[in-house]
Amino acid sequence: MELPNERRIEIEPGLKRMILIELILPTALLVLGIYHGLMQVLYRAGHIHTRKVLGLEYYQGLTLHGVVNAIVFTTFFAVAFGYAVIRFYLGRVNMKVAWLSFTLMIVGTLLAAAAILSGTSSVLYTFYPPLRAHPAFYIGLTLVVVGSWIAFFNWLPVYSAWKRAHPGEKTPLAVVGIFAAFIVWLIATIPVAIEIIFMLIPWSFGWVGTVNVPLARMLFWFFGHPLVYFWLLPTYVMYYTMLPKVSGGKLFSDFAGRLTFMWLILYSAPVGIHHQFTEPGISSTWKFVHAFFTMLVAVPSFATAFVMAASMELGARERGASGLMGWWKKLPYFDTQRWLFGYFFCGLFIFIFGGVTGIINASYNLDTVVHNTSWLPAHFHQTVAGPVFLSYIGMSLFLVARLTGKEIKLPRMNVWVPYIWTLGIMIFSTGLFISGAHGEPRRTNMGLTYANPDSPLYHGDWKLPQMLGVLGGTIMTIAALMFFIVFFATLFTRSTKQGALELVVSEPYHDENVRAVQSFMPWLVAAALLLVIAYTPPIVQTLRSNFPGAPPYTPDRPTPINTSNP
Amino acid sequence: VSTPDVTHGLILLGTNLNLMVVPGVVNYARVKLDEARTYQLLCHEYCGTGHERMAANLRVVDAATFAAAKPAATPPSAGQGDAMTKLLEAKDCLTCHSIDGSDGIGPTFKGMFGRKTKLKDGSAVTADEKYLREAILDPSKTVVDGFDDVMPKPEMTDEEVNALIEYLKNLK
Repeated sequence: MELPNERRIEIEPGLKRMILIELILPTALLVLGIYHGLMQVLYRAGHIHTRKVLGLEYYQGLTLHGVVNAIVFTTFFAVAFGYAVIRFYLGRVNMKVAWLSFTLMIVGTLLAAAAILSGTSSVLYTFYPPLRAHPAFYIGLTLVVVGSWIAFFNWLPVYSAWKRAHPGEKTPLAVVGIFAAFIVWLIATIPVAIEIIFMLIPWSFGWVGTVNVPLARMLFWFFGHPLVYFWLLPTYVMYYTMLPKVSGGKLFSDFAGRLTFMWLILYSAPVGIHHQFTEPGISSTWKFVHAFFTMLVAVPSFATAFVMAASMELGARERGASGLMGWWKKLPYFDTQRWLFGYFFCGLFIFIFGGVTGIINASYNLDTVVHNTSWLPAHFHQTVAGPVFLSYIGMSLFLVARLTGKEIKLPRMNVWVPYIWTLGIMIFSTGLFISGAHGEPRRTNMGLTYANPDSPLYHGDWKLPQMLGVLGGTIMTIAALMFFIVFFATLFTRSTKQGALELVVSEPYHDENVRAVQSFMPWLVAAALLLVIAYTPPIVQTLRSNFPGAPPYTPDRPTPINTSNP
Repeated sequence: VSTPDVTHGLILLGTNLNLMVVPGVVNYARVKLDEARTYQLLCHEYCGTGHERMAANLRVVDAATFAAAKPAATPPSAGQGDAMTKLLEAKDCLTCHSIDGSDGIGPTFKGMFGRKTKLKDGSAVTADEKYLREAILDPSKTVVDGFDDVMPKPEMTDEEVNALIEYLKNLK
């Protein structure tokens, strides 16, 4: 990308090595995760009628697909990108602490991967009790999370030092976004850490006999929804600070970026119960409160869509675009020098549909039609496998190429990746939306029964949308393969220059200075208050009801695990 | 609805009845079905073994059909068979073993007695009384070829085991 480089930073070799491993390792793991993505559409459309293929069982593969793609890949990227942003804008970090965080995350990933691959932890990436995984699964996930916390804590003193050295200056926008991401992450992971450490780990070892399932589910979703904003915030950092520049424009409003980040700190967590509309043990009052906040958390995404369009339009008009829609024709869609544009732009496009369906899911009466059907994976693939995935793989390629001083290999192929992926995901999601609206269940090995013409449970009416799923899934896999070829070809080519840390930096068009968004503190206090209000009563409800706890089950047998049947 | 074991989901296809079924809590919804037809309900939350076949039919009939069908709701040969069904339900046998010959996680009970069976270790056996007793009491020793070693040791008294074997003898 021949953008005027405002700054190239020669960074410490240790930090460079760490960022590279944190980007390359999860990308390699992604090969496995995407493989089972393709396998799933084949099972679900009835092309496979067995429990397992090549030793990987359907639900085991589904667990792998979720954990690798949605937890490991995203968390590693967020930490690596966070280090890049902090080092680029603020200054040096403590490498001892950085390596501690790195080691914990690697060990945790290996433990969880071993637990899943051994076949003893096929509990899907939501690990709802009373299905029980091997203790190594829970411990592994905990280590990944704790490792990412340590990375965040490592950045705080760097920020304080920067602030002391730059009194009165606005914090760089990218730094605000990364901090927002990790504040949301901290808010999200505390409840799930409580669930895992105090409930699931002792129970999986057999130290306690039963677990309070409704409480565990509520703590999980206390984590589960802000989790998606933790995925999305690094993407928003790229959108606000890089997309305007690569599109040839300027950031329309710096204030909009800051407000979006603060708004997400405030509203991303008190919304988890919108995943639990159909569940007993939670009163409808609190379901309503969470639904209300969910609608509020959609606002910054609308703002982002507006600001991005305005930023792109600005640049295109400066290049001579005219008329109402003429600027659409002046964008660098297939410019191999500005290839990041496609990765950002396609994600924004997909997110239009992901956002609209999200609002549908958060509407109680509509949710009762689509809850737990294949509509849901269609929705969240348009978010996490849309803007999040595309911006993460694009930025991984960008950072790896720049840090190692290499030119992008196969640039023509690279520029097509996001568009082919977009075509695939739109077809895939359309299929899943249709069958989901007709009640096709998610998370089900359809090939054995509902998609098997020999079974009495066969559903011929789901066949057509399932075929769309296969078509879209195959196209997505082709796009992913093309990306892997570009990524690893670039990685294994010779360096042409000294590697350095570079980030794209957009200039603001409106550089407002609004005091309300300059400090995190008021937003943190408000967020904490809101969480106490939104979660205390429902948690008390799950604690006060005197339902019996549940003993552990493994997915391969219909009776609980006890001492006589270990 | 509620569940004695793991978390399930319940969706009644073609309606907006959609519930999570969580252990220890009772969930409910009211739904009015105006159309006299068969509705399918299925489990939409991954619940472990056999999840993809966890489905049932709900027949909605008009009042006259309902009244006419009522006497037939009690099977003519109540007695031993009925008590047996209760036992099989209570011991969770029917989760995996069918009594009508259909496929399951374990081999069907129908026609099991006297059948020549190949075991996973390669040996061939005839399912006589002695074999069945061993297979019930220590399932891991006698895994039938084509099935997995997943059956737990059931907690059954001697009388219950005897009754089950007698029942299997008659289930042709």
